[in-house]
Amino acid sequence: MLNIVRLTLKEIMNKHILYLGLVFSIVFLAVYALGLHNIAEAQMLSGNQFWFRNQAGYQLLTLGWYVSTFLVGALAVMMGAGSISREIESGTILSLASRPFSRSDILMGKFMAYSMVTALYSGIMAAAITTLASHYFQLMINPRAMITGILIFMLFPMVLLAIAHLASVITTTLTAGIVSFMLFIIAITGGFMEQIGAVLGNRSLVNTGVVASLIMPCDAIYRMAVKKAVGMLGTGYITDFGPFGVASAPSIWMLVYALAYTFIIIFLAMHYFNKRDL
Amino acid sequence: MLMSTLELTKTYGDNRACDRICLSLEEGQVFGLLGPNGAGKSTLVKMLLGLVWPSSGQALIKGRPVDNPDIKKTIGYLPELFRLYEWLSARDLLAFYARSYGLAHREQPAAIAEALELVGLRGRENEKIRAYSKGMQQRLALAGAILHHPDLLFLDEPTSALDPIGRRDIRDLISVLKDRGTTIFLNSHLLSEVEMTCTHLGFISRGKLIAQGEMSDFLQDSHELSIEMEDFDPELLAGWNYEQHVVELSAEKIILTVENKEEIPAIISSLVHCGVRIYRVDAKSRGLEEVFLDLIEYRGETDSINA
Repeated sequence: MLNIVRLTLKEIMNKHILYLGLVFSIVFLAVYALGLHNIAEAQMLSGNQFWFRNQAGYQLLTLGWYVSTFLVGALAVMMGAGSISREIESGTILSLASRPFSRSDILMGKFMAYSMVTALYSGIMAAAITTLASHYFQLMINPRAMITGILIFMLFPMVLLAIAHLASVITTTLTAGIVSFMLFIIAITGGFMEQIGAVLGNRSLVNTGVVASLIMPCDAIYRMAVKKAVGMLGTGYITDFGPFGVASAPSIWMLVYALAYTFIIIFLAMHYFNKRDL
Repeated sequence: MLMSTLELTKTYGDNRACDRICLSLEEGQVFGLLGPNGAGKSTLVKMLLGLVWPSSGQALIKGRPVDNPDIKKTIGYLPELFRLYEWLSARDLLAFYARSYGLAHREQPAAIAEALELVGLRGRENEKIRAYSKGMQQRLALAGAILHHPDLLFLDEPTSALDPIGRRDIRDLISVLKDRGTTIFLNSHLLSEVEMTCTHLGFISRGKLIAQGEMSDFLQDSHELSIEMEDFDPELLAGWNYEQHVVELSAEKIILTVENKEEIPAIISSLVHCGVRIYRVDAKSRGLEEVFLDLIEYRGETDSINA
């Protein structure tokens, strides 16, 4: 399996899209930093106090994490959707699957390589956004809480990758990409509903969000990660931040569910890959 | 027995791509599988490699299931669709294959060099595969199949992208591998290629294995006998024993097919006995193409036979 991990990592490093993605991520961080700088400067000039500064800082930090979920999500879907199907469509799977690898090794090797890359990307993005926000708004970030939050956030792409791998085993690259991205959008929309419902006190909106999280729990991972990252102090500032905030925080059981969900989906992907003709 | 299949069957809906195929290969054989397009050749090869799962029956290599990773270490495979990772260099691709076969790190350079030498790509190993021509890519795919000295090598249309020189090189390579004791399973449309390289043959039609045996049996058992005569009167052959063998008959010539060359003296003798004046007799064994066409066209729908 390590041989497959190594090959997949080498393949990722050879893709132009990775470097294009990195360039755009740097552009995003630069724009974000510029925005933070201007907002922080405007607040200083208007003489806003500690509370206002913290509120703007934590909410902009949350917003940065939120936008980065789209970057991470798009990367995970793009990588995972073609993981197996592209090999089948191109015919390279015949050479690969006839070598002394079990099909489970092939699938897990690819999943692990993509998970490593996307988790690393998520962690770097989350750390960069947090560093920028805390720098411009002098936020008091608890390093331990922040690391816990970032580690949880690194699980975010794994859920999407698992779904993308399952779709990739069953169908074509294009269909797998569309299905995975639609599920991602359902999770994001459900997350929106849940937070707005929590702010408005509307139970049916919250329940809609919970159901969406059961279908695809990636948004719940983001909410839990950001809540952990900002710590006790920051939570107060982002609770009322509407669809981007954490008015309705997922329980630890949702994290357990997300992990179990990922394992079950990958197990299903292995099952279908082992059964299918190549 | 190196490889055997027992009632190996693959169905896609109502279509039987392979129908109860019983096949066996002994060590050292060069087995050629022949059949028209859509006969089920590629499906059979894929089932033998664990790439396609049989609907029923089983395939065993060295007495073990074909999808066992330890068994896969003893197999080499050149697919008909030999798509490679074009973003790798030839050396990197072969190193990946070498690691997958469990070759020790120190053994890898020698194994890679030897494989490249055998397929004629030595000196090009550091180039990216995307810069290779189709023929070079097929040679590289073949290097990947023989790198680990497999006991059993599956070659699916191994010369499809090669020019005549490349085809000759592959025939020579098959001879080298055969001398090494490698058992080869060759799936090819090129009958001349099969005729020149194989020791054993199998014919598949409509998913059924209709004949298998040694190459010499197929070629020896079938002769075309051409007899030139003068002012021949067909009435002389009334009640002749060999009338059913006649393919063509005119006043100057009679052409017959005979299944066994031992019949030829008796045929000539009987013609002379009937009063036919014979001026020239030409007996030649029929080539694989005639055998192939005969088997596929006339016997494809009858029961399977063994040569």
